[in-house]
Amino acid sequence: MATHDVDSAAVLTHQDMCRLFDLDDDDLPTSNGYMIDIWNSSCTVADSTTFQHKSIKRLESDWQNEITQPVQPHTHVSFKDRTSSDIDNYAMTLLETAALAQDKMEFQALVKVIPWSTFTPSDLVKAIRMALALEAPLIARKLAEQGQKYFPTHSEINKIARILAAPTAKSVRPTTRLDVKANKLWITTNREAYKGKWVALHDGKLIISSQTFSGIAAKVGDIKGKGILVTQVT
Amino acid sequence: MLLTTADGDIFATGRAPYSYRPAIKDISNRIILQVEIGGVLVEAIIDTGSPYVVCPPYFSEIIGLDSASALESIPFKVRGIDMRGNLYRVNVLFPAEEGDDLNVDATVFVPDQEWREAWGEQPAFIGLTGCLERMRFAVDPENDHFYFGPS
Repeated sequence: MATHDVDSAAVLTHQDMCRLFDLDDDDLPTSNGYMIDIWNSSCTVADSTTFQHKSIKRLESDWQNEITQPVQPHTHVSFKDRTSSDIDNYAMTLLETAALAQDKMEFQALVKVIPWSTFTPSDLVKAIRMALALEAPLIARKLAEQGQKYFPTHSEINKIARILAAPTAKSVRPTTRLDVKANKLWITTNREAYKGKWVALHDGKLIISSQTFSGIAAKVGDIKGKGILVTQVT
Repeated sequence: MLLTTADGDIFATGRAPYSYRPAIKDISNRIILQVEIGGVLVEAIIDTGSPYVVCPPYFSEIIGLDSASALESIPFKVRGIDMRGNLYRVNVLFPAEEGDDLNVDATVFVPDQEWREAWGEQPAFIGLTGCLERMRFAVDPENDHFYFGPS
């Protein structure tokens, strides 16, 4: 999907418009872009000199709008009569389209302009999942923060926000210092002899080796919190 | 000796040795650090291109991660393979050889068990978003030292 330098609207290509509104190719005039402004519930046709009444009628029909006048180039088509539910559904459709197209820029632009306070918590969760599928964790985090702001008692939103929150780092004085240097030295010294094998080390001393991680786990047992390094020698 | 800023403020509160060698089936050298993920000491690759800390699929069993506390069924591409797994909030400890350890409350991705074979025997990855993004870190390639501290 094409993107332009806009921060308040999504700009769609001819192909996107045809797909979203179920229009035939020749129903829409050629244009550099079609701007869908979710915030103002409107559609603006950019750089079009041949946008015909027939096309608008198709849009009109699609949106059940009451536009009756032919549209001139750069005419602003209002969808003010539409219900908030229609707009929400449309916004989510645009978001899904951007996500499916793997278009992070478009997705981010849409996330910025969508008024999330009017959406449902499940819409937000859906948008967060879309952002994560796009491998855009910072967008997902922003969405989760908005979710917490608008739906502070929603347990799913709170869980997601906690998981995606910015990490916190704290210095702690070690009670028992792990001898990571000795472990590293053992690996360096024994690299050739144990190459490809899994080893369990404690403070630079070999506990056991195995061909597989499972082999180590079976022999050593629970390694959690015991300062035992389990690694494969490479 | 730990690092300070030009003003004399502490930049890094801890230092640990790292290995500079290839990981499995990889010809490029990686910065491989010993870290405790969920209390389990492992070697992990510092990977600023990764959006999370990424652990091998068998980790959920070892650490005892509870899927009820996870954001489940998230798609994520690991080394070109489309996997699916859970996101958790897990403690990652950077043990120091000198100075203080660093405790990071991090976002961790663990692929589902069905990806165990596809994962192979790669180590864990320490990613930028969800972990490194909120800590100070610096590398001394002369001595293979990794410096860290809270931001």
